Amino acid sequence: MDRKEEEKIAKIVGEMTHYLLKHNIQLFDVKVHHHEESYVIIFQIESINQEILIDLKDKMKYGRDEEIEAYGWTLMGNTDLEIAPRLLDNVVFEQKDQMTIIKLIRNKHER
Amino acid sequence: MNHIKTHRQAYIITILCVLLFTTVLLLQPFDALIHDYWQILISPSILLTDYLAVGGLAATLFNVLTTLLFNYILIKSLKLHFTGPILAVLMTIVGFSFFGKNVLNALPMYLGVYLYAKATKTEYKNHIIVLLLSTGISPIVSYITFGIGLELYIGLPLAIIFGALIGFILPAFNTHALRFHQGYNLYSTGFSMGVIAMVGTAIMHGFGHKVKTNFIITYDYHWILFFGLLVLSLLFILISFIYDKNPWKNYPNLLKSPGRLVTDFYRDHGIGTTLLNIGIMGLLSLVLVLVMKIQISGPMTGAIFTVMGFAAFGKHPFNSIPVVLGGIIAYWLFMFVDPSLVGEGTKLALLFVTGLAPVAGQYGLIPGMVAGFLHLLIVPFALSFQGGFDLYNNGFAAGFIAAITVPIFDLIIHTREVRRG
Repeated sequence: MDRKEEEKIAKIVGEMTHYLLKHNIQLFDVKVHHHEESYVIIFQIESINQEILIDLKDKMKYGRDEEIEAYGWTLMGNTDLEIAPRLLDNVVFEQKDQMTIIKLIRNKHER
Repeated sequence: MNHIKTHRQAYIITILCVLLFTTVLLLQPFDALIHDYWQILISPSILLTDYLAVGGLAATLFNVLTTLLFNYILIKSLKLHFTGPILAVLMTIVGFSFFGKNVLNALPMYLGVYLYAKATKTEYKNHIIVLLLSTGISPIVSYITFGIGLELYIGLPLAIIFGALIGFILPAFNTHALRFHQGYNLYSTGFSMGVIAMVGTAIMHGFGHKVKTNFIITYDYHWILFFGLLVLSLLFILISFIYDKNPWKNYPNLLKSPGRLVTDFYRDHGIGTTLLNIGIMGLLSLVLVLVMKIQISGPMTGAIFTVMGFAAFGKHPFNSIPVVLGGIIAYWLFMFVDPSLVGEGTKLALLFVTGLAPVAGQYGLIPGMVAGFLHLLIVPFALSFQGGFDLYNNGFAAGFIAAITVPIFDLIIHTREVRRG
C-alpha cells in the first residue's frame, strides 16, 4: 500500500473510531480489506442507538470530494466525521440482528 | 455533492462581468483605461499597494474583472462545480484584486501547482483550493520583475522560476501546515505562504537586498465602495430567496456550526442559507466600518470581500463577533497607549481577525475574544517577518494565534469536563 494511502486509511479508521467512542459505543470490530480496485473498511458494531445511526448516515451521505481531500485530509482524526466521508466513494449500512455493519469503500482510482 | 446549478452559476457570473465592464467603460475611455491598467500590472504590488491609488477606480475594477474572468474560466475548464470553498476563494481573489493580485503575477504559481500535480500524478483540479489561494503570494513575482531594479530579461525569468517553485512547494506544505493550527485558522494557506515568504525574504536579505514594504493607499472612493458593497450584500440576500423560498429555515443550524476547516456551508445547509449568510456577513462588516469610523480603501474592500467569501466556508455572525470584539479591545488599547500604533494594518485586522472564528465557534465567547485580542497584537510583527509578499498576512498571524491558544483552551475545557465527571 502507498504510504499516503496508509495514512489516509488509518485516519478514516481513527475519525470513525473517535465518533463511536464519543457516542459511548465501545464494542466494535474493525477490519481493513485491500482489494484490487478498492479499500474496504468494515466496522462491526454490536449495538447502536437508532438516533446515532441516523446521524451517522446523515454524515456519510455526501460522497467523495477530491478537492477537499487534497486540501485538508491531514486534519482527519479529530474532527466530528467532517472529513472522512469526503474520502469515501461509497458507504454501505447492513443490519444483522443486533449487529450493525458499516462498510466504508474507498476506490483506488480517482473518479 | 451540493453545488450551484451550472446554468444559474454562469448567469450570475456573466451578469456580474457585464455590469463590471459597463461600469468600467462608463468611468473611463478605453485607451486611458489600458494605460492605467498597465500601471497596475507593472506595480511591485507588495503590501500595502492599493490598486485604487496606482491605477484609479476604473482600472482597478478592470483588474477585478480580468482576474475574476480568468479564474472562472479556469474553474470551468477543469469541469469543477461551485462549492463553499471554491466560492470563498473566488471572492477572496476578487477582494485581493483591489490590492496586489492581477492576472500576470498569478501565473507562475499556477504553473508551479501544475508541475506539482504532474510530479505527484494527481489531478490538477484536485488542488483547486490551494491553486486559487496561491495567488496570495503573487507580489513576490511582481516585486522580483519590477521592484528590485533588475533588467526585465533577468527579472522576469527569475520571477517565473521563483513563483513556480513556490507553487510547486505549496500544496504539499499546506497540508502539513494544517496540523500546526488544527484547522482553527480559516486562512490556512495564508499561514503556509507566510512561512514561505519569510524564507524568501531571508534569501533576499542574505543576497544583500533589503525588502521594503509599501504604503500606497487612497480613501478617495470610500462612499462609492461602501454603497457598492452594501448593494452587493443586499443582492446576496435577495438571491438567497430566489434559490430557497425560506433560507432562514436552516440558518439556526448554520449558526451552531463551529466553522472549523473544512466546513462547507453549501454542502451542509444549502445554497439559499449560505448566500443569506454571505449577505449578512457583508452587512455586519459595513456596520463595523461605520462604528469604528474606518475609511474604505482597496485593501479594506478586499478584507470585506474575504469575510463575505468565507461566509460560505466557516464564518457566521456567532463565531465571528467574539473575535472581532477581542480585536476591538486591542484596537482601543492601542488608541489609549499610543494612537500612532493604529495603522491601516490594524484596521484591516479588525475584519481579517474573523479567520480565527472557529476558535470562538468551538470554545465560546471569551476564548474567541482572547484569540481576537492577541491577533491584533501579532499582525504588525507578522508583516515584518514575511516582508509583505504574502497578501494574506492575517492568515500568517492567525496560524500562530490558533496554534498557541487552541491547546490551552482545549486543556482548560478538558480539565473542567474531568472535574465535572
